[in-house]
Amino acid sequence: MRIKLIYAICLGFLAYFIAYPLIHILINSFTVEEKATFKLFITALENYVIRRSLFNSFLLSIAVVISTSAIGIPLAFLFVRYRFPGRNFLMTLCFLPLIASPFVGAIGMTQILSRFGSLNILLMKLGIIKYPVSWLGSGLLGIFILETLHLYPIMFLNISAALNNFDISVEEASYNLGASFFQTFRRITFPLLLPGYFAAASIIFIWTLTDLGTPLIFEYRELLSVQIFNSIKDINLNPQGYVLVFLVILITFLLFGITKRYVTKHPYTTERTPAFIEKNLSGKQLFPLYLFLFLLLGISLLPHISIILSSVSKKWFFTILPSEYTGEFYHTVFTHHLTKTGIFNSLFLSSISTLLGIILGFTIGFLLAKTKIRGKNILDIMAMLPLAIPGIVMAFNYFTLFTGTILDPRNNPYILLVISYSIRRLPYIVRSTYSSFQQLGESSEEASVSLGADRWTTFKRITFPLISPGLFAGAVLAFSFSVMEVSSGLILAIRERHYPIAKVIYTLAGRVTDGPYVACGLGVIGMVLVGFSYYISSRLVAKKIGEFFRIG
Amino acid sequence: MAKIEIKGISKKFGELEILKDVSFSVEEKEIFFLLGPSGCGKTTLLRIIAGFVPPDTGKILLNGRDITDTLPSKRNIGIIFQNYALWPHLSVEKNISYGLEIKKYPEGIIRDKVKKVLEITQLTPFKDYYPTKLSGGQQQRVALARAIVNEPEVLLLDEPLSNLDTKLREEMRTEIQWLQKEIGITMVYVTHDRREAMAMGKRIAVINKGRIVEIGSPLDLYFHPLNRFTAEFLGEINILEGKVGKIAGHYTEIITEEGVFTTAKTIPVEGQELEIGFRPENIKINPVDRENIIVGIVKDIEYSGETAKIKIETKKGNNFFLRVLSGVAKNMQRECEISFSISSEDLIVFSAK
Repeated sequence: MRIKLIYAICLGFLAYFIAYPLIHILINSFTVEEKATFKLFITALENYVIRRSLFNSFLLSIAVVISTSAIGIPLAFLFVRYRFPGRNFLMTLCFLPLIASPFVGAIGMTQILSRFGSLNILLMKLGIIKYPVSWLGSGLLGIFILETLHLYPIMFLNISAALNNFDISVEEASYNLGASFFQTFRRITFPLLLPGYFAAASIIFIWTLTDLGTPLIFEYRELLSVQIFNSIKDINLNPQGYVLVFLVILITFLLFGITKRYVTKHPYTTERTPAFIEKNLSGKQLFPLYLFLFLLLGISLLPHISIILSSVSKKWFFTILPSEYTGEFYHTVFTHHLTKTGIFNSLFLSSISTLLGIILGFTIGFLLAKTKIRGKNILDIMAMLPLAIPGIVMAFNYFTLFTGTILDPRNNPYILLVISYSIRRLPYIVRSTYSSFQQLGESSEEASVSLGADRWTTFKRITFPLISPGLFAGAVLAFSFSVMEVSSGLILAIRERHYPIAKVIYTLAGRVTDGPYVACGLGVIGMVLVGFSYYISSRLVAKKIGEFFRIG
Repeated sequence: MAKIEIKGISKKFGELEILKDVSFSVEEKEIFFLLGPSGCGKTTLLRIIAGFVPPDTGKILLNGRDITDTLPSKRNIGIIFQNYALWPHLSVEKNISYGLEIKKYPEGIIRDKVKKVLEITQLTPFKDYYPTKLSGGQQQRVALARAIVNEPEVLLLDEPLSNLDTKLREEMRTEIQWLQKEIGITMVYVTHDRREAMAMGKRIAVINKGRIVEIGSPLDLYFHPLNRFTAEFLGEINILEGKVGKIAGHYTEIITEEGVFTTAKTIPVEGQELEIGFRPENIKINPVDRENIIVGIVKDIEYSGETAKIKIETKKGNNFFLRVLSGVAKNMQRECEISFSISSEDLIVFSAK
């Protein structure tokens, strides 16, 4: 009876905050004055700016998938298949780009790529160019570069995971029958890596498609995410925002659906590769390898380096590196009312949302793994749904749905922010709890019961200690994701006193005086926080941290 | 000329010595066994022959030609992996035709060859199936078909039956032997299963800790092993320490705690310390003649179907195991005294300690 009540509460909560908003979008996309119609779609597609934004968004997302593949796939092969001095250290560096969202990196990159930024000054000093080049162009190129540099680790992680689960003998069997390296890669290796590749490609595609912060910093408006953001202001007069959000949902559901189907249909992973197939690289082979890695790392860490430099530069104009340094922006970060509010709000909201996420995720994971309640599947589907709901969609849904209600974000967005943060990370916590319970099996609990322990003691002394590392690692990561969450804060926090860090950074970046520098200082603090969280999580669950960036 | 010759192969992984000066040769159309416990280096040896791992020292000759530095793809040596390594995204037929396609055979020839191999391996009804839909035995046959369709000079088999259940393993043994004769292929077969090697092999190389300890026929290795490791790895054995005594013609006396034994072997160094042994089933209970007699008390009888294992303890406190037909064991009782003998021909003498 008690279990049924808990089930009903969980299901009710998810239905209200996940399913209901989606239905709300569906209804509003297809009705005008309470009549079912496609009119909104037609009007939206007749609009040149919308068509252009759709085109740009698709182009950008596809381009980022291609560029991240070009970097991530060779990188994964290199690190999984070869051994060379400094491998572990360099591999850690390759994951570093994940710790700063491209949105923060964008602020730093403008310093380097602007008309009189470091790159042009350097090239002019070297005599390679005479006049400054407009690297950022309209901004689209800048967004492309930042998304690529931020997201290639996801491709790297997924392909590495696939390669690690890959039985090398299937390749050897091909060589043995006379095939060359390229024939083997094309006909055997790549087809077998496809499930992992699809998973990574869809995450990267959707991430790029729905990233709001980066285009806003580059002031590039002709993208789907920016159009959705702008449409919120007059959603009551012009409901085309619903249509755009509906399109995003459709695309993400389709992509995740196809990937999921493909992955379950082709469970290609076999036994783990024996360790001795790792080939040693030495001598002459090391030079091109290090050159490639240093170039890649140099470029991909450029945004981070530039943020750090900006945060301590007193004067940085017309020079390659800052000409004077200062610590005053960090002082501002901790004393200015806006930054203080941002830090407090983010930490507070993330803590609460992590707690909620854990309680909810753990309960649902428990219900799924340990009970035989009817209708479990609905709960399962509902809890996994947020995987396919980008932050911008959730924030838009909440904003439009709850405006004018007791949860109105214009009055106080805290509750909605907490819920949206926790719901977005829910699938990961549910899944890790569920798999921990699965791995645990019945026998360790039965052993405890057979020795005279009751169910509560067994849970407290056996079950919980065994599954808590995974849960805690998930919590730390969920916390760090929430601290640096961009879209929800940008959309749901309207008043300054409710701003989380991301919105404070965005606001500061737009101020001409010391704003961008303080924003960078805040960005550095965010980076440290996220980096530290990754470190803690990875210590807790060893290599499993990658699961947070994988689907399927 | 030998089909394939392995000459002085050594291999280290870091500090770990995996193979030490391994040499042997395999004749045309022979099925040669490499037998040894897990981790003895036999799979590494196979991978070196296939070309996936370079040896630190030594040579591999195929038809007298040095192929040590030849790429795996150019060796024309087939391999069957322990886990089959079938490609899950290709159908049975596509798995089999892969090698021929790579070698750019005309389509008609590919079709004919694949058809023939499918028939030989009885896979024709399954040609459109994907490997994951097949049973273990069928997967094994696909792996075989995929290798033999390319008509390799030598076929390497890495524990090919270890993933199958007992009954299927026995069936596949017969099938592989039949196939080997049918297409007349040279095979190098790696296994840790002594029964498999003894049932199928004409010659077996016993490997331990990266070294070949002995090469011989199954019967020689079982009844007249030179090495204690071989004797123990191939079956149960009783061991006794001794010293060389007098020599008379082809016979030598061995003086032990349990008395003086004679062996049908000439050991020239009098006084040399050594070990002797005998197989539990190579004995005569209550013998009439007085050659090589041991007397002891029956301590335990353990029945296992048609035979029974009897534990004997001598007055000196040595324990021996005997294997007799259950019908014979039935007439024995615990704590009864019995005597048994080992013929001089069946007494195994190991090399000096």
